[in-house]
Amino acid sequence: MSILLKNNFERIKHHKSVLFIACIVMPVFICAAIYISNHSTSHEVIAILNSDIPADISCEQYTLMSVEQQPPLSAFINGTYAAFAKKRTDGTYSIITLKGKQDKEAIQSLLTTGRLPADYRGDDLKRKERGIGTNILGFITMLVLMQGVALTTLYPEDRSNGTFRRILSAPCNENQYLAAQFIFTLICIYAPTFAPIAIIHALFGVEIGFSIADIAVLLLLLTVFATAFALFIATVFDRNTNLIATGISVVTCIIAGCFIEISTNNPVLAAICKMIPQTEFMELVHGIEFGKNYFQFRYGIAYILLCSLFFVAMGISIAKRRILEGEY
Amino acid sequence: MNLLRILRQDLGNIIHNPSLIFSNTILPLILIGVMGFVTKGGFGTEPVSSFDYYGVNMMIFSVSMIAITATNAFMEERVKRGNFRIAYAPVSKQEIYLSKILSSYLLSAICYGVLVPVCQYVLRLNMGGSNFIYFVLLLNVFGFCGCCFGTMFCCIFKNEEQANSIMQIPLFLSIILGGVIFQIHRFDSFLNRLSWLSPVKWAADCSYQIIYDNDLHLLYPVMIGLLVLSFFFIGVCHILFKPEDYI
Amino acid sequence: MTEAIIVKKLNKSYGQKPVIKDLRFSVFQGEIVGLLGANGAGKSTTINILSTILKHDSGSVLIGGFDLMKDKSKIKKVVGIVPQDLAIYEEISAEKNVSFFASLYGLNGAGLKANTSKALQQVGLYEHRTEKPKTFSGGMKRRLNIACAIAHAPKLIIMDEPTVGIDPQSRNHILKSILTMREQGATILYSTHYMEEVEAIADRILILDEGQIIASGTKDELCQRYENQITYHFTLDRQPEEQGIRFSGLSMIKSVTYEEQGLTVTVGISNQGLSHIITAILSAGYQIKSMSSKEASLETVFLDLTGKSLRD
Repeated sequence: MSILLKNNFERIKHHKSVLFIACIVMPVFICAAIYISNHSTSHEVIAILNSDIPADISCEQYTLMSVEQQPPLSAFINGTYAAFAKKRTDGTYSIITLKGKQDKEAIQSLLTTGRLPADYRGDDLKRKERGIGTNILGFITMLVLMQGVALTTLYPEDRSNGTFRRILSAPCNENQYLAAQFIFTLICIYAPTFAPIAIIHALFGVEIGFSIADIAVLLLLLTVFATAFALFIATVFDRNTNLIATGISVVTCIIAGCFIEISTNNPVLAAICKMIPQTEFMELVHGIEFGKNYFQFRYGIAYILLCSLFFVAMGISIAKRRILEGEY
Repeated sequence: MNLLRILRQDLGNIIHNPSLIFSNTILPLILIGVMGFVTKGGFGTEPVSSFDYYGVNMMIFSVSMIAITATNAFMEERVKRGNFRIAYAPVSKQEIYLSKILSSYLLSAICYGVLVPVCQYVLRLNMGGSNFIYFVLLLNVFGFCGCCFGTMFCCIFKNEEQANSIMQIPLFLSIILGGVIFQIHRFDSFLNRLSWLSPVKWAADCSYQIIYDNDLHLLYPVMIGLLVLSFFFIGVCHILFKPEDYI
Repeated sequence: MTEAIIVKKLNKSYGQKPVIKDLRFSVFQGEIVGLLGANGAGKSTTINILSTILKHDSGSVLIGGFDLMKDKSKIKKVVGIVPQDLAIYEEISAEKNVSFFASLYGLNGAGLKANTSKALQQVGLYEHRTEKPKTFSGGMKRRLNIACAIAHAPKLIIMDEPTVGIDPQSRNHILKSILTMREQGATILYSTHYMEEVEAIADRILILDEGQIIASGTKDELCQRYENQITYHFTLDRQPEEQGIRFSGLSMIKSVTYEEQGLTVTVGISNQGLSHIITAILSAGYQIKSMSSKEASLETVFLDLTGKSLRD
């Protein structure tokens, strides 16, 4: 198996685009994720018609700005304004916003009473409460899942040029071959993902929300899952694996709340969300960032590992079946 | 005439690739559904629901991804050798790369030409009401630009794997800077200035104006900008595409 | 006879490495010319230049009377190329593959249909015309690869190792098809390194080595140079030692190769000297267990001209 592993490292040197993405682009994207997560955004803006800004307003979540006419709707869509308010004759405000009912009522309260309701949490506050580390790892989760498939490129290549059959005809079985692919992909995802985070944190003292040890453990769990997923995809699909993996990764990561917190009352959606291993991972990440210990998430961790095991087992069984059917 | 024949063959090749068809028909709807559903709580129902918002944004996102269809139409392993055999026939080199651009463009024109009215009139999402035709027009030009972009990467890297891997970087950067996944307006001014380099941002801002403001002011400048960019990409294809590199 | 191809002083280098050096040859109309060469001899480069895909550095090429530099599209119309790779679409039927490539040469309507059917019949795939090549065997794919090149009825067909990796039946079928094409008036330039194929079909043979034609002629003409040469193979009772057998006085011996259980001796004048060789072996204390002789073949000629050492 070590020979196979060594051979993989030797071959990947010649896949310069894969190496470029893994060793340069991934770290750059991770740095960008850390930069954006650490960088405070300007406050959301409420546009108020004709300087009707109440004088005694105290708010840390919104900036109030006077405008001479109602902004176009596109200005709400692109985020220039969070809301537009126009004072009515009775002293209340008519409010136009894309936000939900609760936000609308909070803005009304802000403009009429000068304060937001005590229990109100705007989008920025929610993001802040989610934690910098959770935001960073949420973004990285999607990147790692996509990257896993790109790094498994040697496996489909071996199948298409016949070297897979040749390797299996040597004293080496498909379990050993796939184990070597697994270890290879794991190392190739883990090292360029962990290194930039560790360097940024250790050298520049940038806040990442976790200790280095926690990041090391969490990333290991994530990369084990991503590797298993990649092996499964690479076994099941013969072509367009990158495109398929990107589609699946983007959709599942959104549902799992990797980018924004997802809360739903719909039981079907909630059940679907819960089935996705990334959801358990995000819960674990959030918990660890806010001081809980790993034992409290033992079922979640076990679920992620079981899913990984399932993907690997499926990958091996499909590969075995196809070998027997002479497809490879 | 030969261009039409190659074009028909290329379209046939794309149709025989279920992943490409899926990613240009069902996937945009899934993305709209998923994004709309999971962000429902953060939006009101009027004037714009989460489904309206992500309907437009995911449509732009999906059209951006047409570049991947173009690279696949050109150099996917199963069609690559056949595609380059064409070079032996009496066809000019521009007919070869233009057919890939046009076939993937036609796919996007057909798919999104159907998807937008379906979203508007069947799914009742706001795609501009009677203005939806301008949105479709913009997506057409934007899609064409994406196809030229994808084909250009094939001409540069001469290999689908490399073209797709490297192309994903500027593609995703443009998408993120375009603000179609999350708004970037409130990030610092540097990021904001940078976002104006992204054609996705041009298309997104223009779409918002068409759909939500009933304003067509940006339509022609953006379309001209996208076409200029497309011709630049085609120019690069013309300079770099050499059939002998593929034999 | 009119020349279908005239190549004069052709040169091509990849970077600093010259691949084709001052190449000159002609192919006459109605001929099947075998282009023989070891791997890396420059066969594919020559073919790619003739097929207008690859630009040459210097020299001139006339195909069907058209200048390669000036009339590329006219040349393309009269030439059919069978590339070494299986350049076909796996997802569409055999018939659609042939029809598509033929249509690029300006065929349409009933003519296209008739030519497509004819090409498929010629390679023995008409019965499988509606099937997709992904279900085909290697030999069937190779035959389809040829059909795609001949459906537009080219006057000149250039084939680059069209029989690589297929079974004898398919190979036989392909070779027969090539002879039929010639009977129908086509000129064929056939590149390969399989001697027996060239022997079977070629009217004339060009031997290419290191980018140059080092010999040309019919099989008989080439072998004639070696007609007075015969190779004897002796199986001995044990491994012979070079110093042990005294061949030094025998002037007719051209080469001796010592092997594990015997030796191969090539002599210049047939038969004269056989008794001397046997005497030399026996007097060195070896017993001859068996003996065979072989007259000059194309393979002998090829190996003699290009050397026996392995090529990169």
